[in-house]
Amino acid sequence: MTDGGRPSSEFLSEAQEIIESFSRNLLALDAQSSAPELDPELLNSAFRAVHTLKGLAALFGAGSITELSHALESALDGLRLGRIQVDRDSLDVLFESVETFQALLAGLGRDGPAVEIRGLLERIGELTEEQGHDRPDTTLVGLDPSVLGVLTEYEEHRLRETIRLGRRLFRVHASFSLIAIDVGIEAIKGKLKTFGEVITYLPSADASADDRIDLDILLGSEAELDAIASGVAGDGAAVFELNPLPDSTGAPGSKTSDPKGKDKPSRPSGGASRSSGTAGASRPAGTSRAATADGASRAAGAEGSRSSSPATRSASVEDRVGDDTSFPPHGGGRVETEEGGTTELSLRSLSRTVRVDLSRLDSLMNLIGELAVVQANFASTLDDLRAQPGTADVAREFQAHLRTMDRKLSLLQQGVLEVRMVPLGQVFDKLARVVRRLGREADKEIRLNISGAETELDKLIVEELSDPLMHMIRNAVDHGIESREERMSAGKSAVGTIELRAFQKGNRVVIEVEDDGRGLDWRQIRRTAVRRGLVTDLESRELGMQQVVDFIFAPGFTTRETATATSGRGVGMDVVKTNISRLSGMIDVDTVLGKGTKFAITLPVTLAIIQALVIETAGHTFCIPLNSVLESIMVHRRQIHTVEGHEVISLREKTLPLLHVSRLFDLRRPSENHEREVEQRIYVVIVGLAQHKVGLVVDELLGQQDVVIKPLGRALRSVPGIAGATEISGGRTVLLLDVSTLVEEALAKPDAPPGRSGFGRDGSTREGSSRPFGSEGPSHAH
Amino acid sequence: MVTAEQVLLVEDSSAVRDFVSAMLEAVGDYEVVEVGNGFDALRALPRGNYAFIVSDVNMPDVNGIELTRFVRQSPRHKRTPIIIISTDAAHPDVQRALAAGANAFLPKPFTAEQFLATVASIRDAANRSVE
Amino acid sequence: MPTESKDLWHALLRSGESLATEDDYEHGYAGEARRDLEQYIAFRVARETYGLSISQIGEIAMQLKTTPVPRTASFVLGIANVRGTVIPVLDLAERLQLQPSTPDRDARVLIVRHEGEQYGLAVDQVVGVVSIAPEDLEEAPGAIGSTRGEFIQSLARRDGELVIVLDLSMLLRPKDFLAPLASAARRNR
Repeated sequence: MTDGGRPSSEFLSEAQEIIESFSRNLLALDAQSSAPELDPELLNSAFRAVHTLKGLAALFGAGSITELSHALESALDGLRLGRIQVDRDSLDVLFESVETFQALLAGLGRDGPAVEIRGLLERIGELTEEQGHDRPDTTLVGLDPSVLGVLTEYEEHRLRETIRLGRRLFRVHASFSLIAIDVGIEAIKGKLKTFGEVITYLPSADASADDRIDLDILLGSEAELDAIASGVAGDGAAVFELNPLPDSTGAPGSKTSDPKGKDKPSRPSGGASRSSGTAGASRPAGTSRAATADGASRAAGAEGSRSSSPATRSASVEDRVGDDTSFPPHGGGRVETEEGGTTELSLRSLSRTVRVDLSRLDSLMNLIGELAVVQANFASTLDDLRAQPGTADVAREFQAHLRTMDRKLSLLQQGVLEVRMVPLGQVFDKLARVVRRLGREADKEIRLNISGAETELDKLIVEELSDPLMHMIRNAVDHGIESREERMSAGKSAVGTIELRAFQKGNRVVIEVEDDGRGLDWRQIRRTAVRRGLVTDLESRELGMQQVVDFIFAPGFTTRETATATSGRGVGMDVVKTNISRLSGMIDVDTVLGKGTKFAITLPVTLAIIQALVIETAGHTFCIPLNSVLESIMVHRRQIHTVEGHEVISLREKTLPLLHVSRLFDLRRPSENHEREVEQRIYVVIVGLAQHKVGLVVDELLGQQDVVIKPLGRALRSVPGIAGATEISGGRTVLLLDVSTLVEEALAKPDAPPGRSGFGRDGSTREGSSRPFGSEGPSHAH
Repeated sequence: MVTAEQVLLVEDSSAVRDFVSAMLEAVGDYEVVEVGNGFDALRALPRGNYAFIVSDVNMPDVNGIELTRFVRQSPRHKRTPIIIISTDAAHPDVQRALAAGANAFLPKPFTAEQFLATVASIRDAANRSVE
Repeated sequence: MPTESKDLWHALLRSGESLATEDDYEHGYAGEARRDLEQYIAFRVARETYGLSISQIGEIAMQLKTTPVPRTASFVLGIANVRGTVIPVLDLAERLQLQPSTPDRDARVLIVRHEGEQYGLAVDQVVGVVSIAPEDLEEAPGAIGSTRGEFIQSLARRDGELVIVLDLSMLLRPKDFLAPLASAARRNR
């Protein structure tokens, strides 16, 4: 139901979930495609997903999605009924439809070019046309037509498959208390699944009590009756084997096993049950719902023993399933399920997540911020109050209340932050599809191992991570993993592996992308860096291997001159690095030539609020992310030395270069603060950037606090050295410093301390001292 | 005051459930009991006296056909009208549901008018048969 | 009335500006209602009258407390926090490269919306809402007086007075926001 053309958010959110679950099914199918046997449940789930989506889309008037789902539904029905082969081509079409669905959903209610689905529909059509014809219906002779009559076409297919594959067919009869039916079913379902495939659940109306229900569960399995029986004995279920066979002799009987070993009276044939035919007559399913076949459940010698003596196996099944008039007594059918607890947990209910618009969360965060301001106002009014005589008691009470409010506000803020967290799995699934597609295009066999998909991050971060991760995966597929021939001649397995890992480390999250490809050639990187003027030849030879490899993050760096079809410009890692820095993250690379490459991205868990150190310099207030701060110290003016024109101090036998923030930003002090110039005490905030430490000189340290990050917007987000805006306590808006940029900048200036040439901001190569920093003058060895 | 009549709605898509519920509640004194799967339907059945039941056909585990037959065999609801909703009119599953005892079939997507007309007609038929 | 216009309306009421136009007075509100009249907010910067389409303006604020941002162009006064959203605030006179005047009680900040983001434009005075017929709009010939041509979208004449309709996307071109030194340095990377 659209309102004014915009699709309902309920529809969008359910549709999105369905498509994601469909995608996961496909990925699992893809992983299994080389296995001898496909898990039918995967195809069935995929079918169900598309079926549901079709119904949903039709109801909400989403035409293209309905059309596409309808076509896919036929294809998937064909696939699950075994009429169409599951192979790479069919999977390709299915994967393509996932992408198309996403595009269609994104385009709903928006103006813009319509997503083209004609081509895809044709391809699906071709797939559906290939269907083999129905196999002749010979194998289900003898199965109670009343059973067949209530199976869906798919369930019937699974039943036939079970028989065709030579598996045994069982009927498991169990009784459940209605209140705890979910628990009971999950319990027995879990056990049954270990034995084989559950085909269907048939409820029987013949419950002994109003608060109980009996179910007959059809199970296909290769296991023996006894094994299954003992497996479910704890649930009080009775297991019967059904033997539908092509020919029939009409002799009734079947093996049964009863856990309690009670005697089973055999039903006289032709007794109370209405019989409209003996076994053997194949009845078209569904036409005779009143028909029952004669049956007798009798186990010769089954009494009291589960390792039953061989009962005569009837040549045809004569077992009434689910017919209320001819049920074997379930004396032994009490289910020992836990009936404790009145909570009605429905294990089958849809996940209890709510999809939330980030902008709503932002509004909530803003509100909390405003509440904090109000609270600050309360506090200051309280101060005024306290100044009045005779108010001590009231003031104290007030104070206590304020403290409580402060606590609650923090909890509220924490709560809102937690709502923003989403698992990385969303992005990982998308990457899995990309790997598959790129691998096919590049004709390379690549296996993607994912772990830690449940690791959670702020939704904003996850969204921003999508592109950089995509770049890295693309690079890994295109340039990292070698062709099959190359790999084999190098003694590697033909299948390349890419590992995608995520895990939490303290208050950070680490994401690793590792491949077992050809690794990075640091010598080539060095040559390219020199060629691009990022470093002189001489300087480059003095750098360690790791420092050379880090050049791949330098702007405009790429060793591939030719653009490949899939990657375009051999996407630069500098873009990736910029994106990651914008998220207050870091990226490191580790590589071994010939063996592979590993990228590790470290990110804060949330961007919305961080801990920051608030400082003041030249009358301006700034924040520094606490994550970047190694320590803050106070030094005396006379501890500052000058080395080659740069101010440094000596700290624990190491030399620390100093940087005046006010000079960096060209901030002028108001003249009254002239005394500041000759102030004896200096505050230095030591920040770290990989192996480099720098001390930022500031006028005042105003303390640590949690600050709310505010995005700066397109116009101001690329101001170098400024990472964003923050709201500090009291509602003041203060700029957040981008430590890594500042440090790099400072070290790269022409008059910068010698040593680290890095990626020069002005692109020029630098003459001058290339001696490793710190080996001259009064300072000590680095 | 007329107490609302109960309707049991068995459908696994929550958005579709909301759609149908809204329709029913808008038109008359219906209180819709929504369940998302066959098992929950089994649980809900003894708890209410349903004027009629609306069910999807294609559900995992206990499907709509099995549910229909169960309902037809239960003493309490053996005469309760059942409407099957499904996307495919021609599908054999629909035939089986009707054979199992469902009273009417409504293909998705349906309009409110179509739905309500179907409800009216099956209730009429039910009342007539009682007489 | 859509919410944005209502806010604007209230903002204007609060700031005491008149809303009725000359036309209204002349015709005693009996004038033909034309549906194709576009509404603009007219404001003064350095003694010139400018206009922006009413749809681009979210609200009109009195003074906004701004935090200066280093390394930005001189027309960037800084950033301000408007109900939780941080927006850049521009000195429009400086941006248009006109002689700035000292802000007085009439000074206002127009909060405009552009490409999904908000910006503040500090102006000397808000004149009011004007309705302009399409036939009264002329193409800008280039610079007008000291106002650079690139910022001008079109010209409107109302009773002999000139209203210079500004091109918001040019005014708010992101790369202009950075201080020249910094952008030069970055260009060479």
